[in-house]
Amino acid sequence: MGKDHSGGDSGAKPLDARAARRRQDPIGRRLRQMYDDVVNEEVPDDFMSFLEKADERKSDGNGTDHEQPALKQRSVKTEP
Amino acid sequence: MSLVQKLGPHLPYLRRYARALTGTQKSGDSYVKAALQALASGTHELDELPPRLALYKLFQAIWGATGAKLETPPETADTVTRRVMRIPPRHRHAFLLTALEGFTIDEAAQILDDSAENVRQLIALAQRDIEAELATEVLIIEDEPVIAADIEALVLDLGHRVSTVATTRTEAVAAVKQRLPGLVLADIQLADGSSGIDAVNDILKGHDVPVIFITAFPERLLTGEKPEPAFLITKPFQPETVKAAIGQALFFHVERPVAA
Repeated sequence: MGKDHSGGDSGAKPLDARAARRRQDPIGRRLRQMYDDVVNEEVPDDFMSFLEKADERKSDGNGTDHEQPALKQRSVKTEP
Repeated sequence: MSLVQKLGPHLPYLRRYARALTGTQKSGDSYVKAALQALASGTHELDELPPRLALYKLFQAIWGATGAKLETPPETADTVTRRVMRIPPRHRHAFLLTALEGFTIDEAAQILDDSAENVRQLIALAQRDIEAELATEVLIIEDEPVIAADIEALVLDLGHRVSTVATTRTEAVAAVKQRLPGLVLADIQLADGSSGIDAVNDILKGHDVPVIFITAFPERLLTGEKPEPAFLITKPFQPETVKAAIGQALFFHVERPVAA
């Protein structure tokens, strides 16, 4: 399977996902190194505040109509 | 458990994915932000999935709704990022989710809201895109005809063309003068006693071209005057190992001006 759905438009042989992944893994590893700085830097503050807002909305049950405030537990702010 | 606790730890990785996907951190971040905003305002909910999957799935939905249509490779992106961007979006998702983010096929399928079978196909298609994009002329420096033929076959398999098979340093240098290759695959010990390392050093003086050494004597490269950066594959080799190295060498090759 996966052998016949690649047109013969280039000289490259068709290949399956296993072979493709074996060639892509080392590329992925190098990309991870390239983007290392993104992972190590601080996430922008407003990103976290959106999550906090989403948490508040959930615990207040006042956000949208489709969320029953069944587990109504007042959120205790964990931040200092 | 709060969303801050559940999703917070995954945000750095989502930002990485978004950057690779969109080409710049600024643009990537704007989609991450849009996804989180959707969560905060209640227009979108997380699916019942492990937090990291649910987060990526939400991002994917947001990006698919807007980003996919606006896409233009950013002017400022580096060569490698541009290569990633040239992979069509759907193929790029499957490629980046698995190869960069380390998701399994099944996980990627959940994130993309697709079947595992389709994701496999997308991954194979992404590889074809990558190889078509990287296709180039290859100079093979190898004095043993049987091995040269093996190398030639796998090079052709990848969709490249073989410009010349040189068997000595002199031949290799002459071949480059005639026609500049996009990749050099070089043996080290050549028939007339000349060295593939010397041949490559000669070539690199005039041109910046990626090089992969394929040799039964890897120690020579470790002690000798080794051109940097170069890949090293030990004979006897698995064709797949060489193919993976070729892809990597070409994908990450960024041409630098060379003093002529």
